[in-house]
Amino acid sequence: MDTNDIATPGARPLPPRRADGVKALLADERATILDRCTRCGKCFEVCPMTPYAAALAGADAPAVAGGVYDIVGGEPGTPQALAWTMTCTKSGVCDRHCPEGISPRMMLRLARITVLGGLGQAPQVPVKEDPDYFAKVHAFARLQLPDDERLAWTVAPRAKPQSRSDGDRS
Amino acid sequence: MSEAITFWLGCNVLRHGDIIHTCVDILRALDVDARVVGGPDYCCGTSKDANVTAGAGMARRTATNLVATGRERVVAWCPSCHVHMTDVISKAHDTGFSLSHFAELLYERRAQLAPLLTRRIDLRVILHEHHGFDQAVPVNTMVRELLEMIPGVSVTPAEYVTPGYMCAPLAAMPAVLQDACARTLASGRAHGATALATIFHQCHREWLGLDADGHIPVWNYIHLIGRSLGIEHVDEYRTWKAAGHGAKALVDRERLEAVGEALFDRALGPEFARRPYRPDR
Repeated sequence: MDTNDIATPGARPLPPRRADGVKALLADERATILDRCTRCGKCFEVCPMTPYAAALAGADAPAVAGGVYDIVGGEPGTPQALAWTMTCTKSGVCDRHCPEGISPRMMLRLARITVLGGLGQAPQVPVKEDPDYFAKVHAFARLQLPDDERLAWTVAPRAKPQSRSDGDRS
Repeated sequence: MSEAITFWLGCNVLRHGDIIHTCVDILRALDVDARVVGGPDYCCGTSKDANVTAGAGMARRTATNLVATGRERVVAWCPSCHVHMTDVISKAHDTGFSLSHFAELLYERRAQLAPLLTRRIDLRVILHEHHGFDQAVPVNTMVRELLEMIPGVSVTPAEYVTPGYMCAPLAAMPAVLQDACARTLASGRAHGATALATIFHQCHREWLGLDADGHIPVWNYIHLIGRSLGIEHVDEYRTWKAAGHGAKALVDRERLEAVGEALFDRALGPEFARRPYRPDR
């Protein structure tokens, strides 16, 4: 089924498992992008967020896309590559236009993970996580749901962990 | 025949008990047997880009918990959870269930839904659309068609699509949110809109500020479908948003103590006071 086919909505099968945990999957995605991206810059050209970043005014599309590619490859980001990485809001317009059929949205996510130090590297940009993020979720659950629903809906029974998922623990 | 699903809320729609309860009532009206799950125990972990070890653990835990519900179909409310499940979690963990978005389920069952939409609502609606999730599931078109099934509702032509998935990341980019509001309001005015409809909870959270400031009435599309079905739940978030910094005075003492007054002052109050659009900005 075409994943974007409005004529046949319904229960969509999920892509099959092909990695042992999220870290292994991200490593696999990284390898695919580094192997197939040609740094043509089409993803940058069609991005609806670039007009909102002053640092990207007049930027050379292949240079910025190449800079993001380099971040994914482990190189320090150029100022414009860092600016585009942190401006991405996952619009995904780029995915429709990539001539190589890869996902620039995923490329930018991998770059974001990298520059935030998400895999243990030194961060290249300030990390701004909301320390109250989950406290707010719990707070609103208490404000908005009666206790019986809150407990039934938001407290998971203890389930047996998946056996093949140790890749993320290493 | 009743269909058994897991209705996966995600985390942040818990701000909107009225949306959740309306969805549950709609599912009941459609004879769908929904096991409702959400909150941090079922968090997909997509927000943890700065700590992949934590995000990966959350993904593993959530995959395990969703499998444990024993239902073959998961219907997600949150587009961010839906995409993270599709892009990452299902490729990294055993799942064994199919995945749909809530709007998709309604669209799939629109022939069953249509005769239940008996209450007329006279509104000309501008739909607040995003690029992001529409690439995966064509929710912009689906929700537009669902709204037009309601007697009395018409939807203005789509002219402006907001960047991103939802408005939560844009809340940290005030110039983008301001521009999105300005363009959407201008389009709505040009086409005689009398209300604005959001699709996602995070947009609803931000754009209710337009309602609070008198720019345009704002509803989530679920509110309108629910009303036409005769389902209405009190939208306290709307009241708190309108009150802004004064919201705390509207919360009863028992619930305030359960939440913690310090957290309310530090985190919830500023959220209620935040506005997406200031014409003088």
